[in-house]
Amino acid sequence: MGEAAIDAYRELQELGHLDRHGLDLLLELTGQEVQRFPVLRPSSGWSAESVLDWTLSFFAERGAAVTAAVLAQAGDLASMSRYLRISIRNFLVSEARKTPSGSVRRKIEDLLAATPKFGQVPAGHAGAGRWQLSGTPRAPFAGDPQSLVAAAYSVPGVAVVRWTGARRAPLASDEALVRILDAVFSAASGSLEVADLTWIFLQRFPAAVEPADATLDPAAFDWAVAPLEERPDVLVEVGAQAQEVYEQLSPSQRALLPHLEKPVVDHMQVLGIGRSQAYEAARKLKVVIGDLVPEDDLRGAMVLEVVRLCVVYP
Amino acid sequence: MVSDKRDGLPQEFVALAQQAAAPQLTESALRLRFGPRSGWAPAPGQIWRVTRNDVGLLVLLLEVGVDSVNAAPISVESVHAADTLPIDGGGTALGVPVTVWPGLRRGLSVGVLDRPVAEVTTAVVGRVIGWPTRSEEPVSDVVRRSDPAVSEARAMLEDDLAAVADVLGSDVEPLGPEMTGEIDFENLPPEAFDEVAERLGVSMQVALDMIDGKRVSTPGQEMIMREVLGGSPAAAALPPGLVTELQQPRWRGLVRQCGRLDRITEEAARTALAYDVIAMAARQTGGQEPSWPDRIRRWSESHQLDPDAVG
Repeated sequence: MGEAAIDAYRELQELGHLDRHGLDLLLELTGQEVQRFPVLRPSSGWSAESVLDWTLSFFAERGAAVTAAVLAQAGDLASMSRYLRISIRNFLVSEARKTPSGSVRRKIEDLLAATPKFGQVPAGHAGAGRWQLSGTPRAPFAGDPQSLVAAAYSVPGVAVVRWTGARRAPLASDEALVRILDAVFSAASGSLEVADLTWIFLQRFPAAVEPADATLDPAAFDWAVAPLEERPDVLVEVGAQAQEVYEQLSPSQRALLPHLEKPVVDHMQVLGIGRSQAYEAARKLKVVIGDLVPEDDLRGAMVLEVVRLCVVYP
Repeated sequence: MVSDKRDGLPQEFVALAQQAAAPQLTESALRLRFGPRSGWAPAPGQIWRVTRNDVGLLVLLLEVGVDSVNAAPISVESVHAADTLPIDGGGTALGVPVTVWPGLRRGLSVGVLDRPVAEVTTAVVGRVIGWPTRSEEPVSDVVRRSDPAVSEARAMLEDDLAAVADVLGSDVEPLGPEMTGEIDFENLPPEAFDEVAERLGVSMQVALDMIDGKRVSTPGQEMIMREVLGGSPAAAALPPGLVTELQQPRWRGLVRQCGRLDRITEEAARTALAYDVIAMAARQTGGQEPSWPDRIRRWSESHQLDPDAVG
């Protein structure tokens, strides 16, 4: 912790709000935390201005709550710094998760408009403006949205690619995306908002941003986020599907996967987080692996191959 | 006095910080509201800061015992989920929305209570107490499929709570007979006594009193004696009444001051303070059970320390 930390707590207690030392501390912590989120990195790289922008965004959204929380629950500078760091990290995770949703939404809108088999519910009917399979107007879908995610996953032969990171690739081919939309509308038997479809697609193509990414050892993190095909030491032929699964995992998920069957204390050690957070990370990873790896005779071999990739390129 | 200089910081940033001010939560404002530390008495319905090392969080007290409380964690944000109880900004002195997590309630040592910061109504306490605990709760699809941010927040809160609850029960460790051993005086070289006095930083007479058991030693001092002498005098177990008394939040400021002075952890400082107080009590009252609050207060006066001092 730098000089900014010296008086930040005392200053806060004296004034009732962050001031020079507190804001300097906030900038310092944000500057450290943003480094952990390549998806947020400006094309020109991080600068004092871009760090300030994120700090302002964070404070504009959460400043009142953070000020009250630090005053109420931090007993000293160490606990103040810890709370601020976690708050900033949570905010950046949330922002990183939002990043792709705009482009996904635009893509869905384009496909819906360009594909005759989809249409909008006409004015005067329930759910006017929503999308559905072309034909007679259908009522708004009111079922379990998770069933539509399952329908999206059930479409075979979708070559998925990682779509967060420095170079954002398309979700999948247009033809595959239209097949997924078709399957989702069929399962819904009703009309859906574009926002609903965006959410379903975001579940179908898991975003590679996990809170534990920020607690990984820096060297392991840098290694994990480097594109596989750009590593000169890749000498092993890997199965195309296993590689696709590997590329959709977040850095912390790649670190955790080889240890997934071990006790939670090992997960805590690998990720550098507490017990409950480790349980949560392991639970989510099991769901992701279950969703991404086809349930067929090759499943075991494919999981092993993904694990091998994670071990070789953690 | 805080400097007015804000070199390099945009005015917009400074203005945002001022708009976010919560003057009702500063230490001086809370002191006006709850009085000095010596008057604090944990009670159901109070929101307390609990701390251990650099982990700090807020909890709502539901039940209060002599040496433990039952409490539910609170996060300073509005979280709407099947297992949360959001309270709007007007519902507490925090002035911002908060969320009680009834399913995560658990027992905590009173020793981790740091200071009261707000209260809620008895109706809120009743709702939290009536909430099913996790084991009673049916596995809810709503909870299982909740927003990832909610499940991550829940997990983080649970870990923080576990970190402070790790000291459940007494963290003042009375020495048991198994930790002591007979000193083989006949085979000890004379320089061993010099080494003990030097490492303890006391005179030879004091060191000999400690070795003879005429003067009560702290666990740290006993460890040094064991290392040098191969054993140490059997220490009397700490009276449970004193152990319980020193866990109370009214003494936490004093314990921290002792820790800072001796550059030791809060836990070690509490243990050392307990042995110091019992030593003073033994000299002054013999075998009679003293009033531990009085004894602790007298000890702090004799050491010119103020249990009500901030910090």
